[in-house]
Amino acid sequence: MSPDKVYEVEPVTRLEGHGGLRLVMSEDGKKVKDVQFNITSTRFFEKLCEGRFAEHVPRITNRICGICPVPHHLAATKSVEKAWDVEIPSAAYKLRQLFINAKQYSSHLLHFYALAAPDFLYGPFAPAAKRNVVSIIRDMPEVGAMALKMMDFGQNICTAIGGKAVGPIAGIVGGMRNPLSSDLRDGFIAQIPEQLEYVKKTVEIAKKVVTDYWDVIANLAVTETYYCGVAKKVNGELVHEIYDGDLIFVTPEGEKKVYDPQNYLEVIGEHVPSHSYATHTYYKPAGYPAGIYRTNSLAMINACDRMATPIAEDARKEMVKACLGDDGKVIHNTFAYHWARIVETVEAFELCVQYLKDPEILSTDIKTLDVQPKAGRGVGMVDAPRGNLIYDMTTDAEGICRKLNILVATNHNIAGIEKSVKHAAQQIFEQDVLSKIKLPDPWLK
Amino acid sequence: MAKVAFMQLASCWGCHQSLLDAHLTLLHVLPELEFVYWPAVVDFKLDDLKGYPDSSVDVGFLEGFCRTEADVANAKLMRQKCKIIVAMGSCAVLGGAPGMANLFSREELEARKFMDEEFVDKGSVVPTEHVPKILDAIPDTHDVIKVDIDLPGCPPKTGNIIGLIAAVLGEIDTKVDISKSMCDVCPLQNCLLDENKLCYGPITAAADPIGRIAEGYPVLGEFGLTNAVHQANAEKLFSKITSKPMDHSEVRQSVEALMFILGSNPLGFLAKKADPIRKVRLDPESLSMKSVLDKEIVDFTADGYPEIVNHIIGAVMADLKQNPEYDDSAKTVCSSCERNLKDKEVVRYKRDYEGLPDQETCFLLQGYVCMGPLTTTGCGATCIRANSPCLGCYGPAANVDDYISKATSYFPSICTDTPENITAFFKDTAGLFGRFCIPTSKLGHKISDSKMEDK
Repeated sequence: MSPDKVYEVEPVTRLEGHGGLRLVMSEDGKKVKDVQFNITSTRFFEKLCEGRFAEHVPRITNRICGICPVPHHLAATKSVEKAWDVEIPSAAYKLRQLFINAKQYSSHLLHFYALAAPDFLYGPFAPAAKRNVVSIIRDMPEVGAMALKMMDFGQNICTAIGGKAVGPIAGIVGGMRNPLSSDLRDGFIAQIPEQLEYVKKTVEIAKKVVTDYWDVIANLAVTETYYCGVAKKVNGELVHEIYDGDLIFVTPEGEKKVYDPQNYLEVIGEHVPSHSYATHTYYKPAGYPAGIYRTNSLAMINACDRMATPIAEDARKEMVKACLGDDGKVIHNTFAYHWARIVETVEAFELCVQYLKDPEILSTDIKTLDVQPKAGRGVGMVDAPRGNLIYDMTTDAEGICRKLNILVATNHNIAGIEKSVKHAAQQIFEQDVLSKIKLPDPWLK
Repeated sequence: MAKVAFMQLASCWGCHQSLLDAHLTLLHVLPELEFVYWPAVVDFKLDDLKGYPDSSVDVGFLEGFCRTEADVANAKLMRQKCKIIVAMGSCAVLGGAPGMANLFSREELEARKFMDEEFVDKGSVVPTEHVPKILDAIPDTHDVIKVDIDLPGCPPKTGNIIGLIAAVLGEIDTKVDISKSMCDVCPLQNCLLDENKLCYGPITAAADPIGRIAEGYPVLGEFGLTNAVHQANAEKLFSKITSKPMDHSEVRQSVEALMFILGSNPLGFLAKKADPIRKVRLDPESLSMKSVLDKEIVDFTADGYPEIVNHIIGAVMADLKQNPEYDDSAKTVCSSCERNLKDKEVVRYKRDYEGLPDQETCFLLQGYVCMGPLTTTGCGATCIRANSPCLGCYGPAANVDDYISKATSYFPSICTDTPENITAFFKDTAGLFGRFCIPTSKLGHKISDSKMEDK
């Protein structure tokens, strides 16, 4: 047997977690034999929450991710509420919607401008010292300032509602602890016109990226997988929803299946690979690896029939038409994730505006007072900025957490990422696709 | 440009997010820095960092704790390459919330995650291929490498991180000449001390550029102690300090000057119990007094310090000891909490899901467990202002040796409920009191205790 050539990327950068990429090629460099995405870190949150007061778990697991602490905080809170049969007041529901959408807005913009844009603005082959957001801030200070002001808007709403934007604390089993003051609300409303202009500019930038890189989007890593999203059924239509929806699976052929998140174990299996501390979840009815799926923005666009807000819905239609023409059902273009993320950003902004202008957002009736712990089990699911997030909480009669299962975006995505990276590597090294793909001149040098 | 490296050990990215939340301030800060390693943002790989000569990177920030052998290697690599190591965030400083994993053995942790067949496929085993080995327990970062600056908080407040970067970079960009004092290079026509203003220039090392003193601001020890004290002016400074009690702004200036001169961290909340200025408030009885030039001052002696410097420090300490303007606000979260303390007793402890706390009254008096009285400040009581009790993410206050043991005696002792009820309430002392500090606590090390015995 001939020896293999191994390429290692350590670490994978512009990533919020910890991972290395390992590409194994045949000796002559012509055949891709294996691609591994090695998640090299784990912190055992599920076990360490055992024995804790269940209502404290949302203030522990919000430390799983510094980018998406809000979805963790809320999914954990929802899981305890489900286990204890607690209903929350409508004002608390609206505060949480505003909270999670503000996070979605700032996080998606962070992803677009700080993590993704450097590849498009400087070109994927620019030197590492150039290809980052620090260079963007130096070279395009007005775009840098705009991006930072947008993230600021979202993060400031998170701070106003959650107490802290990173490691938020204001959610509590039974509702929220801290009403929104009219002063803060008015301050955010005053920023809406400026933010709207920024959103429009961002959409313009994104459209130029899509046009410039269309060859890449249309041809590289168009990888067939299942998709896992969240959506809410309204009048027979599946509407895009990140806080309070059903679990949606989309088959590679585009068939949508709707599940109650409480029954997630019937459809989601967890495979433990030998090369990654993050487990690979898969669509159980299809088995592993056939049931490998992806989550996050593209999956969310595939899972819904329409967006929840008008401008975002127009943007979704435009994207679907560009990627699929008139009759396709499911978008498999990996590089369309960026576009989908911008569509979701627009919706998050529109929803923030909607909730900020809702008078009930200032209500002080934000917490159910008669919360009683009991032995129970409940699932709390939201869609975090990087994808589906499931908490499965079991408590004893005194309200102590006895068992906890958490499936985060990394679990849902990692096998799909491996599959799409392997696909791209095969296209590049076996079919020399790069010589056939048209790349634009970089905007910046 | 200062060279800066950021390393993520086992962590959540939250400290980075807190830095990025400086938003528009970043427009001024980021272009001043050369990032030699920052995987969250910049594409340099581990081999790039390994390629730098030893001690060639000005500041290295460590986020997270050591969960794997790779984390230990990366922490050591940072120590090797960086002149100053900052432990950024409660994971690096205290062990962090995920440090509660140390309440379980590695086998228990792995069994739940990789082998519990209620969730994972039958027959699964712990991954071993191209993944670093998991340590038996999370160590105290300070036992792995020498840390120069602790910046606690989960996450540290954005302002704390920016302030620290500014303070550290200020030191790097300024040339300090300890063979001269600031008086030797002072451009002012009229000495501030002659105008009866405080200025620590006579005992402070000369700096280039000279900084704000050129605009008439006093020197506050920014550049450390000089080897060449300006004796005449130093005596003027001594008589200025001992002439009458210091006013509010003089107290603030003197505390800042002493922090620089004594080598304490410039950020007040990071100060340690042993610091002389902290001792003035925490342990005043331990200070002995002496008389110098008919003035009662604290008998302070530091090795290698000229006598006049010891006298000046002793005079400041003597003043602070009695000065009501010195409130030692770096003490606990309570010092920055504005809630009422109208009653003095806790009738019954409540779980957080009970009722809705009122926004005016101390959490403890309402029965909610709040770690504020035992926690060092720096956060500005952020959680409390959002109507949530303090969890202790900035770590134990200066007079608290061990969070868990202190809290276990403190909370029952301030409650008038029956011992049975109190005992029944505190079912999870490790989780409530050790939320951010299990790996650095003296208690709760199931694994590392036995390891220590082995040694």
